[in-house]
Amino acid sequence: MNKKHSQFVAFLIFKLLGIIVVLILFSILGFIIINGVRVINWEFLSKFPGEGMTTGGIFPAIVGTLYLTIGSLLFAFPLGVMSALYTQEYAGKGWIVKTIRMMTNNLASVPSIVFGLFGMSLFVNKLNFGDSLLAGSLTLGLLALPVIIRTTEEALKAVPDTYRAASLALGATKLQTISKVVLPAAMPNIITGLILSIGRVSGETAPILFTVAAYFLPHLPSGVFDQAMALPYHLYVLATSGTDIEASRPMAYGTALVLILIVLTMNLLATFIRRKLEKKRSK
Amino acid sequence: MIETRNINFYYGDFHAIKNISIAIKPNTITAFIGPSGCGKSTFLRLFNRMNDLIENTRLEGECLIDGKNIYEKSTDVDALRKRVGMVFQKPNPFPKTIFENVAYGLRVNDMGDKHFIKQRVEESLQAAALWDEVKDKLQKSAYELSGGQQQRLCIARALAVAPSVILMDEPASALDPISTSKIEELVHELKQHYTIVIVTHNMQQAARVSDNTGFFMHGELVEYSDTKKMFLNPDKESTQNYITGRFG
Amino acid sequence: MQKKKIIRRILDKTTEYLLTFSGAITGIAIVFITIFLFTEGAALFKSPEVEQGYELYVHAQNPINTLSPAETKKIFDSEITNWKDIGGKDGEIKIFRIDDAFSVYPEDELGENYALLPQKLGELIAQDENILAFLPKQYAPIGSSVKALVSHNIQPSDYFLGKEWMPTATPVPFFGVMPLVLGTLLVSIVALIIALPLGLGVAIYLSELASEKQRRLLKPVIELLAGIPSVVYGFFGLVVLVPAIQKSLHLPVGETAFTGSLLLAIMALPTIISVAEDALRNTPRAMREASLAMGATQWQTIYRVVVPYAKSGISAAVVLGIGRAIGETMAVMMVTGNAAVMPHSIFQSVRTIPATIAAELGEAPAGGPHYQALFLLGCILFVFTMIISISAEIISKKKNYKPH
Repeated sequence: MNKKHSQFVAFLIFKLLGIIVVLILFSILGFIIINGVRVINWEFLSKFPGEGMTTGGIFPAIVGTLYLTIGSLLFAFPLGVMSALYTQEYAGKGWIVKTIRMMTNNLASVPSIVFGLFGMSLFVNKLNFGDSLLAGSLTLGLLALPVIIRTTEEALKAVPDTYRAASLALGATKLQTISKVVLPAAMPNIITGLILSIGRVSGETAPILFTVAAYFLPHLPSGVFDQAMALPYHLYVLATSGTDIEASRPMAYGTALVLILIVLTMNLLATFIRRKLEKKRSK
Repeated sequence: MIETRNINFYYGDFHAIKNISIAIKPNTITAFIGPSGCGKSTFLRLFNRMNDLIENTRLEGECLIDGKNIYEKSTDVDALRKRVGMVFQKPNPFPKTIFENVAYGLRVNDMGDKHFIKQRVEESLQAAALWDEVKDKLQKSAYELSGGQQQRLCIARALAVAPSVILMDEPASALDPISTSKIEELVHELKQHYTIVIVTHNMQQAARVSDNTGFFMHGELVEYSDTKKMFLNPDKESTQNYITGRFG
Repeated sequence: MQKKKIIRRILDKTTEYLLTFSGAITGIAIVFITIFLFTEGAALFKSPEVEQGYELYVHAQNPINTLSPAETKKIFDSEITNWKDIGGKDGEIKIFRIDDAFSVYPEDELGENYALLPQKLGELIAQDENILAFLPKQYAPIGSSVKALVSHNIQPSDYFLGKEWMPTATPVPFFGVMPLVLGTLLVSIVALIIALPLGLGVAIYLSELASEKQRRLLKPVIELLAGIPSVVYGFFGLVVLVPAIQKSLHLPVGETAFTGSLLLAIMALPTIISVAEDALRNTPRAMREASLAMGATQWQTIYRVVVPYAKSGISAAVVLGIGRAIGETMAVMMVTGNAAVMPHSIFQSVRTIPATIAAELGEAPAGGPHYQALFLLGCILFVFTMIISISAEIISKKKNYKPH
């Protein structure tokens, strides 16, 4: 009966572990949600910060993050999808593709602060964009690039080769096959990848520290060469370097909750699209 | 001695096994044949409760091995599976060495010391007619063997824990003809010491190796009798059709 | 008809070139990053040891020709007070800074835009054989009895093996990265030691023991937690973990390496759980069945068959986890206290490489040695993560046993 006992003990430990870890993780979510919900209201979302960031809202940070997310994906999404199309549909299996794939893989593992360094050196200093939405968007876009490439590649791989063969056999050119058959079939998965990278990009702090983020701005950015506030940096500021950290704590909880809600929404959206796609397939 | 009494088995709402009662004598080879999806594999997997692993299933009736209902609450399932060995459709050696594959059952069941294990591994490999081919590479990965050798390794693995019954679920379906004939020879040898139940979709195989044959269709046991009789002079028309259809 | 065909062909070719070009750009991006980081960083070794724009001057009779950074620091900290301690003549070292000039000479004597300052400084140095003057190059003292000390460039060994990180110290800044490298490794490794067993345990629970219902509830939440921005975790650490650790361990401050490790572990858990669970579930059903059919218990099956089978997937997850932990910036910066000293204990404040970059780059003048030193830190981080990512790739490709 010895092996039965050890199974009992082992499973007991695993169950306890599971419960403990899940409780810890849930309590983090719960902690921020409970503290944040009290703060979030229309005023919080639509007003500028006031009185040394202890009152008012986070409107400019929301707008800044929105601009940055859109800006970065405007650049990264087409480029990422096109490179994935190249490696999956056009390039052979030679060393060039292998090298490119290896490089994008490695790009994905570069820490975000290094992207920040690079962005500052190239976009802010060398190209003289200064601290600006442009520099920040490009830096964030670079960070999102490998994510988009990888998800697009997976999406393209999931399109059965028979589709391509069928289209080509009907006399369609490669471009027609890709634009009329392959891309539409892969699109839901590509969009899922895009949505998940929105979640990622909107929460990044390190890359925007030196490329765009402003501590406080009394007005919204009016052009691509303006600085902007951003949610993650705003939370960092509220948590560590406000004029009165204790008094701005509620603002910080609210900001943290908004950030979590963005990620949550993006995850739900991605799941929703995936579900819909699966249903469509099974029909 | 294996005996089932009015066994019914369901996957969710699907009635997979319909009221089957059967008795299998010790030290015989019994073959289950029938078209795919007829329930023969499901039925086989009832004998060592492998179907327990599938969620949302239900069983009615009794399955007795050596006079005890194995579906009683008090049944020690691990001990049951040690007594009732199984060989699967595709060879499924563990990603371990040849030696460790055969020793696996001995180790998990705490059977004997190092010396005993070593001896037992050799005996099992010999019984599975594999010893001469692998004795110089026992420490090599099991995946270096050919498909047929892998399947014989799996048989050796099953033999090592000294079961009284061996269940074989289409053991040769993934193998080439030469490997298949080796497995068949082996099955014939093993009959002296073990009760063997073999599921196969290959009727020639059933005719060649088995003493008794059961014909399954749509979850029912249509006919169960002596193999010679079954193939030469079946009672039921559907059996006749199936056998001739396949032969013809 | 013919025309349409030609247009189509042109379109086809153009697209192909466009796509090839995009592929090339993304491939080149990382090369670009590498080049930028390393050229900016390597320039550090062309910078003098002495603070940029300044130089050390002595009397021409002084036999000392050069001072090492450590000697300079000791002199300015008054740990060395006599020239003979560093091989010079007996005489008390008299430190002279540019500010001191204004107390010696009234401002109107120095002429317009301090035009006369260099000359006056020259006179001043000529008067005192024991003087050690730390002066801006633009007011370099003039006179035959003035000698500028030879200033060496910063040496790679000073940087990579140096134990002091004082980038803004005068007259000689110290760019020793050892405390930062060790701080980073300490925080990451302890984090992994905490997260690994927990993560693996939960992964085993989820993949082997939990019911389908539990799994369907927990998996999305864990994925959500993996996506939460690190600054949110940092904020949580700051308001919950830091005070909790300070109180429960009776420490003077709660911002310690351990706090950072704990937070990093919490952050790494969702990723480790999710990747390890995938790896475990990838173990073929046939393996589990084979083991159970031998009379093995479920637990024996898990640790003898399932876990070994998923080994390469799990180790890849671990290695990637280390990479993430080493590169994590915001959360760690918010809870480790950021003291750039050699770590002696995990209950002490430390500073990691990413946190250093994030905290100091804003203040470092572009193109200066401090800026370059931070870029070089970026290079170290880059090389670390590259090595880790490549080894993860090798591990996940390598299967111990390949089926036929």
